[in-house]
Amino acid sequence: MVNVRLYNFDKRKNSTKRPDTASGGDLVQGEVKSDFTPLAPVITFNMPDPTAVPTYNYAYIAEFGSRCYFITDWVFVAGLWRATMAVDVLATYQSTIFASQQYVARSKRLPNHDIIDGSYDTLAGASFNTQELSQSALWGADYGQGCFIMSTISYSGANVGAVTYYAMSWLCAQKFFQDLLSSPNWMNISASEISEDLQKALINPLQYVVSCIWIPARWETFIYYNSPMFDGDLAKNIKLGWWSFDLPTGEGTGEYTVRRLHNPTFYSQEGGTPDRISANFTFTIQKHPQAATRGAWLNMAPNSKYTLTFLPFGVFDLDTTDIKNATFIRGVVTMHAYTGDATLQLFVDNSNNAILTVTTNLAIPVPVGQIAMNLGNLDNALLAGAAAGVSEVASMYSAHASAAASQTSGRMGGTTVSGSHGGSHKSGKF
Amino acid sequence: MPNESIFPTRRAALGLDSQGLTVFGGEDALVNVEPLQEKARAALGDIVGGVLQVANKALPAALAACASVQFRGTQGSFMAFVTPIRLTARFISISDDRSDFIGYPCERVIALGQLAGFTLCENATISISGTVIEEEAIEDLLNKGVFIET
Repeated sequence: MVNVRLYNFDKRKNSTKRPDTASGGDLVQGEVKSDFTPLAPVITFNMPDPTAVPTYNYAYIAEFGSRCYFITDWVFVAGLWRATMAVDVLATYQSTIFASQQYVARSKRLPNHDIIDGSYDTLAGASFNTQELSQSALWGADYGQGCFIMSTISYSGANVGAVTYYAMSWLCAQKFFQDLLSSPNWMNISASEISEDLQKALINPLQYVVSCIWIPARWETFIYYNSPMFDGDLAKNIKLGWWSFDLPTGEGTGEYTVRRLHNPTFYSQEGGTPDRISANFTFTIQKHPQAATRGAWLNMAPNSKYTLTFLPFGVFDLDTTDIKNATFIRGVVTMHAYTGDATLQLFVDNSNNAILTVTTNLAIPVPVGQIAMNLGNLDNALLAGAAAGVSEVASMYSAHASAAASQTSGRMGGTTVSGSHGGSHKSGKF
Repeated sequence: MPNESIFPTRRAALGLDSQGLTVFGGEDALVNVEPLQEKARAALGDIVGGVLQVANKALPAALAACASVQFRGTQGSFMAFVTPIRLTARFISISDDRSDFIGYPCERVIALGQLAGFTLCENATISISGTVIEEEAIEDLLNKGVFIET
């Protein structure tokens, strides 16, 4: 005979759950067959009501090494109920199992939400979240408020080599080119020495303009840094080669608000670096809508994808590994004022480790024309010009002679002049 | 000393005026010669002035004919600057949560007694006071996933 505790016990077959083996269940005596194994014993019970099918599904037998058993079947044989059992190793050796150190691949209690869980299928379709920041908000200027950086070859005050850089607003640049090219009077060359037309033909002030670019920053960005070396807050003239184009209206009028760039003289409001402009922006990192309950791994690819569009730098897919735990990303754009060369760096939160660094040129080049002379054609052009001149002289003389003849025609019987003076037409090269 | 009124007349007779130009009808010009000389001088002055003036125009005209306009820089586009800076996030959802049955990734070495719920081990090994069959059964169950319950 063997003492068996019988239970109505709910547990999963792969559970370590164990009933109260000390006092729980119904302690019943059973009889084992002569041949049996403690791993799968078959025990016969004399139930009080043999007509009722036993409902016990679990057993504990202390005498069999304190083993727990699943009752897999009941068979009624000759007025007795015979239970077929199978050892429950997880419950039987629960304490040993609990004490053992194992490498746990998956756990309900101790999750690592940074590990991508490939056990779940992805659903078709996607949801999007877009944040926008206008570039005018970034720079504090839209494209009508950006400024022109013009560089000229000049005789003094050069920034780099012989080149001097000036910053001016859009309207100021329009006025400058209009005044520069409408008349050569600003050069103060006497018309008695060189006629105005010849000045226009010989001298093109734009040939001294090395470059002219538009950058997305206000000209006011370049503020004056006190230095006795330079003219003051606003430039009073723009140097063009040998000449100086005065900016007479100057300060306070809204016209000719030009600032000359120079490393020790001007610096940006943001960065404090003389020849550079910087701007910052931040974007909040939107999280995957299921990440809070299902795990942060959903904030990573392929379930989450973050694309930064910043033209003209480009379109960039951000590495989700870098931003998975981030609250925001911080962009820092640094632009060189002379050339528009710019660098975009992205940082996570307040970290100083850039997750993205790209360069481009933000400047928009503005066409600037100059007159180029092909002196190889000058002789033929002079001939053509001389021929035109002779023809004009001849017509003038003819008109003059005709006028004289008309005055004397009554007494002289009319005087006509034919041919050109000198009587010959000169040909050949000057 | 030749008569001043005759000299021009002779030049006129030769068909020449004071500027060496051929004059037709020279005999008729004997009358009232002096005003003609003044007019001729005036005409000469005009011509010289005209030559200078035209020469002054010829040089720039020639230079202009030789000149060609060259451009520095290109016509840039502001399109890049009217395009806002965007951060677009795209999310793909996953199927329903069944962590009660499969747990979450853990990847740690730990005593199983510290855990609860579904637990899946990798290469589990255990030493028990039972039979080898039971030991293998436990290891097999741990590697397939068990529910840690008390």
